[in-house]
Amino acid sequence: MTTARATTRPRASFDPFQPLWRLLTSVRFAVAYIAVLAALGLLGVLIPQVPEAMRGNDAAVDAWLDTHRGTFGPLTDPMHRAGLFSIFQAKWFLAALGFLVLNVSVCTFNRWSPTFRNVFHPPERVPDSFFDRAHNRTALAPVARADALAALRSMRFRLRTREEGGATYVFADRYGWAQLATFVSHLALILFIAGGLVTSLTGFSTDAFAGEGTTWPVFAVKDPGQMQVRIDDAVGVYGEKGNPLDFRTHMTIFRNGEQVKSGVATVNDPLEYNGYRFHQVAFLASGVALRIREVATGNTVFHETFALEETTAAPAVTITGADGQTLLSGVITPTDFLEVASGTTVLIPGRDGIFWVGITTRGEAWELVAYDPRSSDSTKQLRLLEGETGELSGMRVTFDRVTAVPSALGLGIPGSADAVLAQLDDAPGGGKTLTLVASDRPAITLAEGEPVVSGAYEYTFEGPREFAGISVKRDHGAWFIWVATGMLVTGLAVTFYVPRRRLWLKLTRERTQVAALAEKSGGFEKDMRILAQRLGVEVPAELQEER
Amino acid sequence: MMPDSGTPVDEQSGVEERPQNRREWSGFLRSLAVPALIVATVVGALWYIDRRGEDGAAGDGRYGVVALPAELNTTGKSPGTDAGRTPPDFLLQTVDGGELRFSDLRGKPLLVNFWASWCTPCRQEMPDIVRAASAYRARGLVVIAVNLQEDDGRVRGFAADFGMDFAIPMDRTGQVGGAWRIGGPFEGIPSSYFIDAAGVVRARRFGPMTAEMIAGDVAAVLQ
Repeated sequence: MTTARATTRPRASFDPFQPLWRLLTSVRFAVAYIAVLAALGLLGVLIPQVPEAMRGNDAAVDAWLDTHRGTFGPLTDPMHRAGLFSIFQAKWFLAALGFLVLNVSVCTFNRWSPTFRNVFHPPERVPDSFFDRAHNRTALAPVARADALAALRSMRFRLRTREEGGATYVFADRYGWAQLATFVSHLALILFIAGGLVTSLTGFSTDAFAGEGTTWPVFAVKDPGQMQVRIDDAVGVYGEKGNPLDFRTHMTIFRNGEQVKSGVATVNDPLEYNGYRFHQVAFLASGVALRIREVATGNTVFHETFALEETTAAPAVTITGADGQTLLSGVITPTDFLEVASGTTVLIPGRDGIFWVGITTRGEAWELVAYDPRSSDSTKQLRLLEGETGELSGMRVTFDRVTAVPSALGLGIPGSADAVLAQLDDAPGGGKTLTLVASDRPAITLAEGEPVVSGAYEYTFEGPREFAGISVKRDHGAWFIWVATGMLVTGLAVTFYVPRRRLWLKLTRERTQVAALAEKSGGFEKDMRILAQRLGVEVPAELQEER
Repeated sequence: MMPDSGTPVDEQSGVEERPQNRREWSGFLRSLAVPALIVATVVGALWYIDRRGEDGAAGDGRYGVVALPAELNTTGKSPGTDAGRTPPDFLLQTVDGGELRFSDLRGKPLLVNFWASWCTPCRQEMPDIVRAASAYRARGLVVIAVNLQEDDGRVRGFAADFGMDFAIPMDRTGQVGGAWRIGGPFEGIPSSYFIDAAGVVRARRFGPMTAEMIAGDVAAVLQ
């Protein structure tokens, strides 16, 4: 007796979707299609792409295109219209990826019917001839039906039996569900592609660099979901050798005018709000807050927190009297930037004297330049290399070392039409001082929190401010990737480590015939040895373990 | 045991060795629609899980752009912020707790500035706007500075600091800024509109203004 096999041939009647199905299930097509997508991806690497920050801003994109007309000439605009400068965001590329998802989906789920039948409706009764030609088969000594069933159950097989012609036919199935794992693995692949698509279509990323006390908007102006982020406290912890140990920033997030979140972000532990992750990505210790008021009205006309990203060379000097008493020791922040040297006039405490102390270069070395403008011989200059000591007007001057003073050059600072150099330095009694230098007015040195009036303005150095670089990311595709990874691992583990085993047995008075398929994982021989052992019969010679 | 060639399908018994390797056309529904539906369901479920709990933009429905009474638009053109048009009307809360309806200011020459405290050029030009408000107040100029989506506390502090003694409506959702097409093609702030007593835009500036620019454009709306 034979069991009718389900047909696997396409229906004879014409179905307009069959050509599409054939295309989508064609391995050749799939390989060619993936190759084309890979080639397009390569184009996206070889052809310069519009920077992320410029996308969506037509004016910025036009400016970017203008910078590339020299390379692409008259092809620039057609290439832009074709999306070749934004390949990974181009609708046609995303549509192509979407089609790949459909392709893999159809390929995967078309295996569902035969697999489902084999898992849930397997052929339980095979023709007798199958016991003579199955890939894996053997014959044991005759055993009692009850003993055979008990032994198979102890080996975790699910059993179906039937009596026919004086024989007992047994179908034993173990881990049949494991064959469904292939769908889990394939669905994972689909989710990987879908996750990539979702990320491309809806992912968001932006960076900001802001000082303590300042805010910045996450999105372009007018965005209905706008968020403002205020940097409350940026902290950088360094080791003894100046190596960074920890960067963290306390920040507060506002949305539609309301505070919605406050917390700390670090490099590895972002602050999260509404699906957006705020990562710390940079830190700068040198920044200042400066407020300038109009004396006449009392109104603030300048209130900025700015980073001091440049440095100015400044000498660290020690001046001692003839009696060895230290009169001055510290860094001399330059306010006069001359061709020959950069320096400033220094009051000598307790001596009613003044020196002009500056720094210049001699070859590749730094050189201190100092002179006493009140000296009868004011042309006499003291010139010292690092570590050297000299005498000037009865005092000993030592050039301890050269230091780098954090500084920044800015325009538009009230009180000066020219650029203003801001320099941050240590105050002699502790704390910090901010020195503002411009060519069209005297330098102003500001102590922390102490307003100074100069001309029509009052200047207040509000204090040092640290800066944090924050990266904001929103990736809707992340869930897909995590779930897909879990499914892929699960699917592969089940496929490789939970093998399905199907046995067909025919029990007669003369013998016990067993047939099985050529399962990928093998193991038939081992199962038969266990079965024979539990039934108490001799293991056939061909199933004996090799010694 | 006798190994044989190992065909994956036994023709007589129907026993299939690796059914998952075989593809089978089962009609449009099972071969195309169901796979697409399953994938769409899984993707949709993940999308839902990802987006659940995500807040939409808040905002009081009362405030924002409101219909401009027809009798207040004498230009014969639809509301807009190009020169020669009447701007879209709006009703917004002000930072001091009041309300301001734009069309209530009809009959007065206006300088409408869109700004935010985080915007460096806005901070740069604000002292000149404050001076202009003071200098031209006697001649009837009304200045309003629409803040974009910031919290009240920060705006109040900034206003007191810079001496902004004029109305500061709060565009909490950016809706009014969108309707006024602030920044034009650059979509940014500061953006300023000079509107005459008849409610018609006479000049607009995208980007920071100097005192001279303000004086020139104010003169156009004071005439």
